[in-house]
Amino acid sequence: MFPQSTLLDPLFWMVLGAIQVLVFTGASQWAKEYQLGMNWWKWAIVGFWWLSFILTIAGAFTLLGENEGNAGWYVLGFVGTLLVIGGAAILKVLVLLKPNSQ
Amino acid sequence: MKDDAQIGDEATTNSSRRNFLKLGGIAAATATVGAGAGAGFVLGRDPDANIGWGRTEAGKDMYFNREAFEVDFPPTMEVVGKIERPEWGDYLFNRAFSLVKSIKGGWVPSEDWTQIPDLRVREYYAKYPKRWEEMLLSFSEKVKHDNNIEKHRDRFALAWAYSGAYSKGLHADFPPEPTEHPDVDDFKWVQREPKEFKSPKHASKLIKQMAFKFGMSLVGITKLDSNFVFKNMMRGMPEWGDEIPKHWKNVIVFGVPMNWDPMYAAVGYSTSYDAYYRAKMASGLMAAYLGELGYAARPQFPGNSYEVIMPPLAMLAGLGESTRNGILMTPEVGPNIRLAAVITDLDLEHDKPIDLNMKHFCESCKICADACPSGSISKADKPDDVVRGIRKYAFNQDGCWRFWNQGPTPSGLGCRVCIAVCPYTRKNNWIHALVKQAEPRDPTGVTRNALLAMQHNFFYYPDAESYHPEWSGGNFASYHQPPEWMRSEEYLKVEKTWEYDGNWEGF
Repeated sequence: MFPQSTLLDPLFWMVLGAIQVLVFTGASQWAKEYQLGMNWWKWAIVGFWWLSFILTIAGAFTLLGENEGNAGWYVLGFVGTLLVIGGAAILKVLVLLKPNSQ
Repeated sequence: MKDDAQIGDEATTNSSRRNFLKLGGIAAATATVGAGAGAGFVLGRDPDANIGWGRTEAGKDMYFNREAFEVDFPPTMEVVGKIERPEWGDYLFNRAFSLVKSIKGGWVPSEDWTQIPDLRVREYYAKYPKRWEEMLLSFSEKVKHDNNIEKHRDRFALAWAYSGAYSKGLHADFPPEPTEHPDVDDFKWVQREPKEFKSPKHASKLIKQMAFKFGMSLVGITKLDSNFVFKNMMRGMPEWGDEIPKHWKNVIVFGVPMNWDPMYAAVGYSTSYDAYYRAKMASGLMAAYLGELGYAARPQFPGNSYEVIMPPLAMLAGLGESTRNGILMTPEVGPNIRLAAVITDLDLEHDKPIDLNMKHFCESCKICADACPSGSISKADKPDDVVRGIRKYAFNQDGCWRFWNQGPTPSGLGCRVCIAVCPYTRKNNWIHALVKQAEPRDPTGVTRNALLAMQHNFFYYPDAESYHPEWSGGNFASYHQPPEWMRSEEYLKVEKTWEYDGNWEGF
């Protein structure tokens, strides 16, 4: 985020890494509230989706940053839409596989 | 035992902690999305991605690990007949400079080509008579250029200054042009007996490090292949035949990219001189360095100071592959590479050629051919020409040169559109590095097809005609709009009377 800054850039990435703990702790609480019965492979799918989502946003904005305006918005719209649909599908599968629904 | 009040307190505390984590998680996820967008945008803007500046000394500009792709012979150098050495006249700059000299001597371009005073130029057009028409047109385009550029100076003033500054540096007398026989001239910086290296491997390792320290982004080493040495040409020697000096053993090939942002804004805002200047200086430094150690060195550098053809030697040195537009394509910077070299008698360990599947990439892509303002690049599905025994895509040098003469600055002639639009010409940021690493490793071609589908459908490309100057019916379009530091209206007291056509930042 601060590429030419000696101090701010490493600090930014450390903070961003640290708040991922909060993201997954929060997700864990939501999963408990909805009794999704998360296990390792369910978390792996959710984690992969989250990584893909963030990378798509970062990738689209990288293209925007390097003056590829059309490409940036198209990637965000096209891949982003696919990911949102994919995310909804994953959520649906998690709900269907709830331990108390069997 | 806990009483009811204590249990109630703990339940409230736990509930409150859970709520905090739930809401905190949402806030953190939102922040991550924002940070991802922000970091992505800044990384796209980051000048550190203009490789060749910043990490050069560590050699990390050359980040692609070629070892896994090494082959014995370059796949894009398909030999289909007897390889013939190039003639002096095959090099366009030799012809063009000779014609300019002839004009100054009184020759009139509109006369038939058979009247050209220089026999070597006549020989070229006797071999390719149809190409004369394009060369003749280049003179009339140059006249139109000279009559019109002043009208557009407001718009291109900063580009004039940028290319003009590098032009001054490029024409400085370092390294000095040879004036004697290479058996003498190539040893001019040798002061004493050669210092012996532990092994050719040690010598190559050191020479590569030095190339990076002298400012080069990419470097490779190969044996001098005499097939790629010009005939009838030796700087400093007006009369020269086919002879190749015996001490010409190895070639250190290196290069740098042109500065990205102006290069993307080709034609009008870009110049090759920035990279030419860096490559030329590095070749001089490397030659002097070798001389200090006691070895012969002959620098080869842009514009018309080459005695060898660079792209095939660069391919043999493992720097990249041949492309549809005839330019060397490297995995790091695509065809945005300007080459120089030093020929030496130092024993060096050679690099091997590489196979990165670029052959198939060029077959499918064709973006450069579609964008070429002069239509000089073949659109055939497969290489459709044989040049001196090697199969390649047909390329009309003279047609390309005709368009060169239409650039809207005095010293920024040239085109570079085929370089700017190539999907392999992308900055060294994470997203492009990722796909450049993935594509050659996918034997199925799925990655290549997916990337090209995106490239064709998501990216904006101006029409080929719009790259032409306004006086020829175009609108000075460029693949990208010029960077902020190239826009006259941002810094100079000029009235903006034009609109930019090219890719934009999206906001």
